[in-house]
Amino acid sequence: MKYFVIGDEDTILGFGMVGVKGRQVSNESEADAAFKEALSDRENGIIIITERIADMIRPLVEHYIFTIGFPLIVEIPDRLGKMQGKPGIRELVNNAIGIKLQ
Amino acid sequence: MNISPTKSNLLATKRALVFAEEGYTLLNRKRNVLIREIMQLIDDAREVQESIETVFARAYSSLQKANLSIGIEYVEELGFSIPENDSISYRLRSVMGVEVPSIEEIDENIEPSYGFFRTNTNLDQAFKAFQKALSLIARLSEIETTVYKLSVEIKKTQRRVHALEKVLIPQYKALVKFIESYIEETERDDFFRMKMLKARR
Repeated sequence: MKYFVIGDEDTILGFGMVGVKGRQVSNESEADAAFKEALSDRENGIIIITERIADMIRPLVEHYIFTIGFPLIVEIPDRLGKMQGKPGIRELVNNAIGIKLQ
Repeated sequence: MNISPTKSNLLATKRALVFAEEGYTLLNRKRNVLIREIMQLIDDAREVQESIETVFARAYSSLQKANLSIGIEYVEELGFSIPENDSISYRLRSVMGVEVPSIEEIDENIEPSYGFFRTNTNLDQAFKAFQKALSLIARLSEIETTVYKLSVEIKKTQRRVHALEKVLIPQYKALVKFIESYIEETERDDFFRMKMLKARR
């Protein structure tokens, strides 16, 4: 299976170098369209999406991550680095199951 | 609950109570196993996430340098010549009945398919860094998806455990108590009635 990357210019360029196709997006409707395009091809096993773009379509992404589980979705930092104030995986899980893990 | 207080109902309710308690113990154990599993994975996930951050910081900065030194169009063109990466494959395995993906080892070494002409070390570094990022991404995707799926399952199990613990088991216990006391009461009634009859004769 293949990777598919949804990101800004730099991510597309960088992943293009290692043989990963993708779609460059800059706003919410483009992000939505690109995400659906990525999902429509069953050959896409892993969708790589930058945090900033994932935030534009947060409910959609969350739906796929938590309930569908295929394809695998990974959020990566973009060239400006990791987003501030983004909840880590531990917080996400704590919120989801409503109990505190130390 | 609207159940007539008879002996057979008492037996049935007691059976249901035992069954509910058994289910409670089982689910509780399942929940504990899942939580232990998820905690382990969360630590792994954080480790991979941290290394992804550093790898990406390096990847973006070398990409930027490459863009500056040999031109963004040329870097883009190089991308077209590289065969599409379709090296991932994964199987589903089951953790306490939850299907989680497990990615097969992927080949980290993609040969650069550009020549020495008009390229430089910055480009090589960017290439290497993105390659490393890609394999980390595969690993992270496996861990994260597993964590999310397990967390959904934990939530479900949690609800069931609570429903049994806080609602069903107390309900059955109250019912057993009610039927028992009612039957005792009728027994005492009968006993007394017998005595009265005996005395009158």
